[in-house]
Amino acid sequence: MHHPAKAHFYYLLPGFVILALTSLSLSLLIGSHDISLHQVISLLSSPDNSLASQIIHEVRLPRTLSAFAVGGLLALAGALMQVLLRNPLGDPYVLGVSGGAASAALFGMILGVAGWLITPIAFIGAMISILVVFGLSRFQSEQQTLLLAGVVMAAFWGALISLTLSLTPPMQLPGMLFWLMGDLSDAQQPFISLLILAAGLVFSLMIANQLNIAIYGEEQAHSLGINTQQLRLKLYMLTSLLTASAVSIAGAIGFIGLIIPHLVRLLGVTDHRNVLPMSVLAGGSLLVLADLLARILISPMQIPVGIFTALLGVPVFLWLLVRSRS
Amino acid sequence: MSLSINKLTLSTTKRCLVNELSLSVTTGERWVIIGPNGAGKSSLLKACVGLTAHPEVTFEQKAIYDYEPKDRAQRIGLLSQQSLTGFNTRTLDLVLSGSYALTTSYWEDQDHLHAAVVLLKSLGLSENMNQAASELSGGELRRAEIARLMLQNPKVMLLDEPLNHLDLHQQKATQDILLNHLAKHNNAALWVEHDLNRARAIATHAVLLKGDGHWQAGEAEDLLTSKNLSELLNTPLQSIGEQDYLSVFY
Repeated sequence: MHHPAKAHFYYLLPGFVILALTSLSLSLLIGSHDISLHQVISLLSSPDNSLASQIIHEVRLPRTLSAFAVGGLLALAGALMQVLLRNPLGDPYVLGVSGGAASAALFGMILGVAGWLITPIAFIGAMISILVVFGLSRFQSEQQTLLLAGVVMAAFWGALISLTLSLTPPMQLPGMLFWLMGDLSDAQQPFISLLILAAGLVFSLMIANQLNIAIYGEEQAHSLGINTQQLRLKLYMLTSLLTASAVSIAGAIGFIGLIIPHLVRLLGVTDHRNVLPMSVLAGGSLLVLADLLARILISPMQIPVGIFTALLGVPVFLWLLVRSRS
Repeated sequence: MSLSINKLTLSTTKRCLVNELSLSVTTGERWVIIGPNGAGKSSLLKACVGLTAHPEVTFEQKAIYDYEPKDRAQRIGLLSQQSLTGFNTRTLDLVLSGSYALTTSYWEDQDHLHAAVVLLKSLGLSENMNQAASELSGGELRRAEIARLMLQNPKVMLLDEPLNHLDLHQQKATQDILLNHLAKHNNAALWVEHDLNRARAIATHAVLLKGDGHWQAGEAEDLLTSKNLSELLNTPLQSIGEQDYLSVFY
């Protein structure tokens, strides 16, 4: 008898690695300036002073890695929230967690706090949102109620963001709007977010077999030997951190956390020891590709990538909603 | 080995359900819990598995909720009434989750995988092994959950109406499988049961919960009399036939 989850891990996961490497290469290759594959490879290992080298190292590489990190962070946060909610409609954007992080980050920007402080501030916003929404689960375990609470929270943060924007000096407005719509053109420092992504993935893989059991509900998970309160607390912290670091790089990019884990599950992957790393790789790849389109579709102008993911995500969300009802 | 309850009081916000219940369950005993709806039967099981913090419930002199979760799950496990499946998890994985507390390795043991397959077969679910658990019928899901609890194999099994949703022929077969399992491993059970005749057939001991704080606990023979049960359930009952079956007066 074969262990199916283990088989997926060994045979399916490498496919996702190849997908990620392909999308990363495409994003490095394609742009306003033609650079050949051979040149890209040699420049990556040994940068020189040429224009091509500058484009690769200062423009394409940071942006591509940021896109990958943000996509991976959001997909991982979504997969974890779906376990918390026991519902495939869980997503940091839908549940207002991104909104909380974005409001807090925006508030920080208006106050003019240092750049490195934006992520911790966004984390507090995300935490507030998640505690309000999931705090209700102590009294109301109805999934629909939770989802509704999330949607209402998202609306609340939306209003708060509008208020902040209406009070912002016009000079600062375009940049903030672009950031809010989900934009990667300013993303410069991918390494911290890649580090958070890697740490988040390792930590969530360590609790992945508990997540497999948490989906049977609080009573059964407890009976099967899980410390459910502790697990829930870990998930609150983890999803808030992942969402906050994604939001502080690229604003509120929606629906990656919804689409990606669902697509992975559609492939027949159910075990979270596989769902989580595959979601990270696929989410990173999707956002890299979406950002590539956003860069080149109407170049030299750029479209905020969050618009793409929302246009893709809303139909998927509605389809999921109809399916979960039937 | 014993599960002890020492002066446990359970109440809702409005009223007292069980007042200072005390009993002790030892190896191999099968306790049925009988009472009207809302009398606190499920709440009692939840207290026993440590879902609610009650220091009055102890296993080998240590409060249940003080145990490490995995240690606790090896000693006591619950088949709750609430049946939930997650996403598109396969039936085999649902059963295999019963082995979580039994292993420290990251991937499930091959032995447990075999055991899960054998259990599914014995409960007539070999066809459904690779099916999504969410697609199972109510009775099939119930049997899969029973298989999971048997894989977990806790020393005390808490069974909240385990044979609900099952077809008649499956009820008897599954009851026999459960009783064989309990006998083979010398495990104890606390079993909520609405079918009085089944209760009398399986029980060594009984707890009768009236729902107003009053309770009785003791040997099944002494407690499960038609007079006692008539009073408890507020329904006139009579014994019929040589097998001494209980039947309701109409």
